[in-house]
Amino acid sequence: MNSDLLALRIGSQLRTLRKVQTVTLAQLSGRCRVTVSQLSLIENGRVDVRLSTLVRILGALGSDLGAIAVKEPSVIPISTVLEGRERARRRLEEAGIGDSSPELRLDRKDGLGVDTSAERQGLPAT
Amino acid sequence: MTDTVHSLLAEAGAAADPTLRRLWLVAAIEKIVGVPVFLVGGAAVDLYVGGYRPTDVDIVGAIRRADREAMISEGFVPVGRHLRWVYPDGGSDDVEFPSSTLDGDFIEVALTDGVRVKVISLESLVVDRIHQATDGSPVTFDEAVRLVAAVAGDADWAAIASDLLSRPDAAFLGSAATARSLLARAGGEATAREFFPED
Repeated sequence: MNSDLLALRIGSQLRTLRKVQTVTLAQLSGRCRVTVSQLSLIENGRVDVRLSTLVRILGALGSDLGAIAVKEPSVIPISTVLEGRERARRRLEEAGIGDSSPELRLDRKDGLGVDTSAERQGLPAT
Repeated sequence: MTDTVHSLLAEAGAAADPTLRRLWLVAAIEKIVGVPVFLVGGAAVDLYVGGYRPTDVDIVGAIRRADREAMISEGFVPVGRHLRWVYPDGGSDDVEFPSSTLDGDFIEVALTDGVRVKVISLESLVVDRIHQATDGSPVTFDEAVRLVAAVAGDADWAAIASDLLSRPDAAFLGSAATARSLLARAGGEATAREFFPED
């Protein structure tokens, strides 16, 4: 088992649980008596979290161990991912849904005030 | 094969498929910065369903200024908020770091036995796109329809619904109604009824 990846995945899920509830690190720290810096390290998978601490943090979020996957992330061979992409392509074709338009997406970003000049450089000339 | 930065960048340059090229690039970036990085955004959509042509490569990770400098030392070129990598054939990818943390779960895509790239999970990506589609923009709505139509039964809709509907802004944004609308457009009425029932 890769403990670094496990810590990373647990931390990522904890962060998601916390942010879904719009709880700040400071607020969570106050609830579970784990320092803000330690919580940040845990959320970023930089430390191994003790089981008792993990249970306490989850409890402070109104949750328990059942809410998170305490296992390493799935490892998918690229060939499997590309097979899934091919299935997706066929579904879109059958549904009559065409490719996404990068120009439309960039136009939307322009509307949001985002500088898209660099990204437009990469588009093929029309 | 060793997974040194230069060998990973060489693999990226040699890849004919733009999707694979980007994955090798992300692997190289993680090696350069030395912290976990995750592929998200449009490049992740393209990886899962194709036909997307991302205009840049969004990567999240706890990147510091020193890490950006390290990437520049390896040959990345600053272009505005992006760092551009130019491949030997003249093509390029612009890398952006829109956030320091991943919102959701991730998988590892194994390019080889020893080289893996962390990618936002399909379910977390769908949640992200549905969430974006609540902004009322036809572009984001159509993009979400496209993703949902493409992944259909491959996605864990129970997990998606649980994540999306547990967010404190779900009611305010009308996330359930948005999910129902785009599922209906994507031919997923049964999924909509099961996981996003009307009150």
